[in-house]
Amino acid sequence: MKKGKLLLIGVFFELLLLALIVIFLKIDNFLQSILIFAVAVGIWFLLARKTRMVENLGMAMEEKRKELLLIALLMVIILPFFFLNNIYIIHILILALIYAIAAVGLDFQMGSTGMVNFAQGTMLGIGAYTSALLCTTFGVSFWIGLVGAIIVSGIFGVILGLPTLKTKEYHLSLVTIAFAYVGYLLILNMKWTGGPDGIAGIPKPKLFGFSLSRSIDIGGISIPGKMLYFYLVLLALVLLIIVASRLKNSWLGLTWNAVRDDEISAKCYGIRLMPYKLLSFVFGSVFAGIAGVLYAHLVGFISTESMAFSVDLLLVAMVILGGMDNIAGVIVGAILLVIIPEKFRSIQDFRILLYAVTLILMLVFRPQGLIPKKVRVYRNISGNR
Amino acid sequence: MVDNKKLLDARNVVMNFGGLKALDGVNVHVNKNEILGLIGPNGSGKTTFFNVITGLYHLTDGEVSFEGENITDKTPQEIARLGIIRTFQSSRLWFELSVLDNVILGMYMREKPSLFSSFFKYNRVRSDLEAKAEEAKAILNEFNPDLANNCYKRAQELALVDRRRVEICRALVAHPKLLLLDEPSAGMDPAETKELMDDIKRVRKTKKGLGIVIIEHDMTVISTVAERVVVFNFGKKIAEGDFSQIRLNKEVREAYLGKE
Repeated sequence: MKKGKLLLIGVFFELLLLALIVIFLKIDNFLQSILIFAVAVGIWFLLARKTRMVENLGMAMEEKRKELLLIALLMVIILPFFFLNNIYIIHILILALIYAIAAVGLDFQMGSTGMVNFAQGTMLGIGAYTSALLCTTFGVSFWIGLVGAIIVSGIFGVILGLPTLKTKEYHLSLVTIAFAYVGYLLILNMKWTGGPDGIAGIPKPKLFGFSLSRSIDIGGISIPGKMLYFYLVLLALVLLIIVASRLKNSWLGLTWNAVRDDEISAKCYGIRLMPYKLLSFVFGSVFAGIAGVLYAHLVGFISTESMAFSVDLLLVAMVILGGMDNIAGVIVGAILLVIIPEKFRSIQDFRILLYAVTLILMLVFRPQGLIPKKVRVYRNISGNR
Repeated sequence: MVDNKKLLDARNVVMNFGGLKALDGVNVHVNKNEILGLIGPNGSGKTTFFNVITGLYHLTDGEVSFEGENITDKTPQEIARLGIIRTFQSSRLWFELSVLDNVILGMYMREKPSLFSSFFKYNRVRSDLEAKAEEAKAILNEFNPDLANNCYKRAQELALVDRRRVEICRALVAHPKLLLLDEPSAGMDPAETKELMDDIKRVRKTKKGLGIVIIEHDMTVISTVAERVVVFNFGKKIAEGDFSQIRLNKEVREAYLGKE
């Protein structure tokens, strides 16, 4: 197949995805949302049957990776322009990107190292509270709050990681659940965290002297501050994706996978388990901490609600839905699980139902996730495969 | 004075599981450049012996030394770094990884992977991994060209026979000084077994100083490949010598065929 044609196929699918997302977010009508959702699911099922098509798409993603990623990035950059008249949708998009950051971090544990961690939402909360407290009580800037949150969440990553080293599988998950509840209850019951009232008045970050809370005029067009915030979060996500993919495609990713697949084999090849498991917790927690900071300064108010157990569950669900150990998959999972339920807010109770049913269907029919992980491919040096 | 011909020396090794004596004071040594066959009925303690040497089990009593260094209390990782590499009876590959990744990970100990370089010298790390992938393909090709052609298959998709071959390739790229093979030919047909044994002999010729211990059930295999044989029964060493001697040993015949 010609390379140009491969690129065309890839771009076509990216445009299709963009169109679906834009239309889905544009419509207000509940029935229409259901319709679009059904169309998307239908397209996906049709695709799953056409193996040739899937193969071509897979080949396109492999051969034209750089080009397709760049085009995808461009599409995300223009995405908020479709919603200039509806700031709320931009807010939802920002939330999707923030959760994507936390989910990519969670995947270091779940996907790479095979440890199901139910405390990622708590880590997000810890990052959010750290920055909120620093900014409101000491009046420091967003950036110093961010650095503080990275350090504190990294430390808590070690604190969570240490007891889990002695445990495996279900027991490990139980330890993380206990951690999540202890963290939640502590913050809820301490005075200096604001207790159940939370912390209000978290300032918006400033970029080159511009506060992201107001809109700015560029050539007569008024750009809302939310949109600038969107780009700030997008920048963070892109940087962290680069970090994550470098980690996963170097020795660290390989050793993480070795620890996941067989610990005894790993030991017999000189791989020490403890440092690698700890690293996976530390990196994951730092990602969550950064997501938490971005969340706190977006909403301007933070309470234990943002680190409730449902958030932990939601993050785990994002990784499972998207596909473990696959960055692209996890991001798709995060975006879907933020965007889809938002549209079904009109019927609150069914929203949760839909979400639960989606998860059950995924685990039964496609446990590998929407975009399953692929094996690592190495470029040929000598030319023969 | 340390006997520099001796690679591994296990003295008076005792391994108790509760009341069960899995190993009851065995003395086994392996020389450089030697293929030692380790045989015995099921449950006689052969695999336990491997687990003790590689540090997976903590022995109850006795001492193991490797190249004159006491390794009794070392961790599996430290022992692996000294150059003792093993395969497993029921193959223990990293099943969700590709064949290629499995073999590349075998080279882990030759590396000093650092976090710094995965961030800031990423291109060098990648080209280094690509070179390692070439090396991995070359060794797979030596064992079975089919494996090299299908090196992007996940390990779990392989047939049992190929899993064992991949496991041996993974062990060899770790540059072992002592290679422990736990029933490498189990589940293979005679032709495949012969091929594998030829491969093992070839490896021994090309790697100078390499000692190999091979656990086997198949006596014809042992007779063709092993230069010296040790027989275990009920956790005790009951015989030692070359195969023709062992075959005539009364105790060995009783262990395998029952008392007459």
